[in-house]
Amino acid sequence: MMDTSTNTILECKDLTKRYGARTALDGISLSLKSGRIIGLLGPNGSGKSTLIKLINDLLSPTAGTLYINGHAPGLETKKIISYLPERSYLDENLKVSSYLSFFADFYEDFDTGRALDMLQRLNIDPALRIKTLSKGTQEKVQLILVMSRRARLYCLDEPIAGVDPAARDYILSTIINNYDENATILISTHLISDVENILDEVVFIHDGHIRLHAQVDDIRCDQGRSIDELFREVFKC
Amino acid sequence: MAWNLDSSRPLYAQIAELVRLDIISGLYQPGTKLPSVRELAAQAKVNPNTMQKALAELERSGLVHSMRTSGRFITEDTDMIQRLKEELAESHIREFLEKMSSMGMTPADTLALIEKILKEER
Amino acid sequence: MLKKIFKYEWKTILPLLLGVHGVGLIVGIFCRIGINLMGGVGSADESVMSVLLLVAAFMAIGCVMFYTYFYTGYRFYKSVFTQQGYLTNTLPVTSDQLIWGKGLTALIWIVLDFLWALATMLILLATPRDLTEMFQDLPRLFSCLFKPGAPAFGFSWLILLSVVLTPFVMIIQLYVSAAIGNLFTGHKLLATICSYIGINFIQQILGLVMLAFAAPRFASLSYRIEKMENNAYGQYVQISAVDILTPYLVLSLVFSVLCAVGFYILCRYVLDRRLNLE
Repeated sequence: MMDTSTNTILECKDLTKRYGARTALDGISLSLKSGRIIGLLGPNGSGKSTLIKLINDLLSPTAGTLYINGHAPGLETKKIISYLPERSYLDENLKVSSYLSFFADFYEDFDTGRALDMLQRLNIDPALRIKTLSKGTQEKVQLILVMSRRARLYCLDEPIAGVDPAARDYILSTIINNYDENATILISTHLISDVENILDEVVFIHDGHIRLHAQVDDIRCDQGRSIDELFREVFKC
Repeated sequence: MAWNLDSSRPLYAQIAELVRLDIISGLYQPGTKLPSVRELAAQAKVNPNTMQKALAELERSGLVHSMRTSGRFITEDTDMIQRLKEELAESHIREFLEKMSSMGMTPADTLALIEKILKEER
Repeated sequence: MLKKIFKYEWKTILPLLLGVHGVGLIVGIFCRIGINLMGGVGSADESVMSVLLLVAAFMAIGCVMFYTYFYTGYRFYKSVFTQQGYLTNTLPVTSDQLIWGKGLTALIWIVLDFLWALATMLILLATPRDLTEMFQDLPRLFSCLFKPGAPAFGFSWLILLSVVLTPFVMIIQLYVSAAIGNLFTGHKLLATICSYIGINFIQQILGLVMLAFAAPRFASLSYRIEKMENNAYGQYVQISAVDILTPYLVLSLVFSVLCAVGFYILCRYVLDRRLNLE
């Protein structure tokens, strides 16, 4: 059954990140509730990855505050966030099975059975070394690892960029099938038409500012058009 | 079943319509159990929250009712299903007649044409 | 978590380092056999070939030691500051656990490496007589360390302390170089190598400065040695050398400790606040 609780999983206030003279995020304030699939949408270089890296404690904010489930990014938040970066972080010399035990050892919420099941359905032998797998399969292995955690917040950074349509379908259905109604999934992407049907909420981000934060169905009701169409208008060049 | 969803309208409403159609057409028989939210969501490639909302909509109309632990069931009220079927058919026919009249066809012309086509098909 | 970091790091580097040391050992054994077949180094019919073999074997040992040391540093760089860092830095561990977990594997390998080099050199060179002499000398070494009244008691402990401290400094110096290299955009490996060389260079300079401060004392030392050579025995000279070297050794020990602590703090700061993954 769906949890009707409306806990705040992520809260940031006046969050700013500067790289030298360049401002990547300019004082954004955002509050995200549990149990939603949220699209973080914006053109390349809009600040999507910066926000996701801040959430994952890979960057430190220049100013402002950020809380995940009530904690500033750190040890406690890393236990409950499952992060899929844009690029592969797998060591090519290791076996798939080494990563299964690695994740099981470091993350209390990792479900090895679920991961094995998904690997089996793709006919990936856990005894294989990462380097013997194709790039596409490596990406799937990484997604399986990330989605096999029972995390509170999933941060998926551009999960479908640069993959073929079949792989895209696989990735999206893996996300839906493993989604637990109490968790929150934050998906950053610029490929909106591909993901908009699985989103509850969208956050439009542009030049380090939040342009729009709304429920997907509200947008469709009020505007009578798809998120993709709205996005194209908001970010028209 | 193909879930052809239009991204410019709220998905839950479209899904509710599609499931209603499946019940009316008899794909889901009265009194039987509906697949789980998760299964349906995976089929439709939408997120479970959306499917949840669509089913809640059907529950409100009384077409579906949920048993606390065992899931959702189609109503056994066949009269209600029949009534819905007729309502839906009626609205489609009205829409169709409107189109015909906008083409300049009188109801009598339309009926004659329908009978002719039916005869040919047989 | 420290244990887990250690375990996975150990498992990851084990096969390669075991292989390298195995090959090095085999090279050592073959060289020894070759030298023996050709009559041996230092024997009457010492041949050019056996000397060449010996030089080759020593070079192999040097390469293995060099490789082991820099490989542990490369591992840290690779797992923390490249794409793999996206996983390493989002694990629920603190930066202390990360540095110590990985650092301990490196430390153990440096110690093992040292013992391995000692063993390989013995295989290469030792004669039964050398070995017995070595074991005869051991009690003397222990007496220096454990008899407070023995000559050079404090000095021996200072030496031992430096020996123990050195691997720590060596490792954290590698790590801090990787941390500094990470601050650069692009060419991080190159920046890491440059920082390592740069840090070494600065350390050398500071070492020279310390030596310069100690120089007047060395000058007086040589003066005293000259004086003593006329009227005293070697033993006294040794003891005075210990007297005079001790302050220098203390100074360099303090310097090493300061370096290690400073590097550690800097490394932690970069991991916590200045990560710059591409």
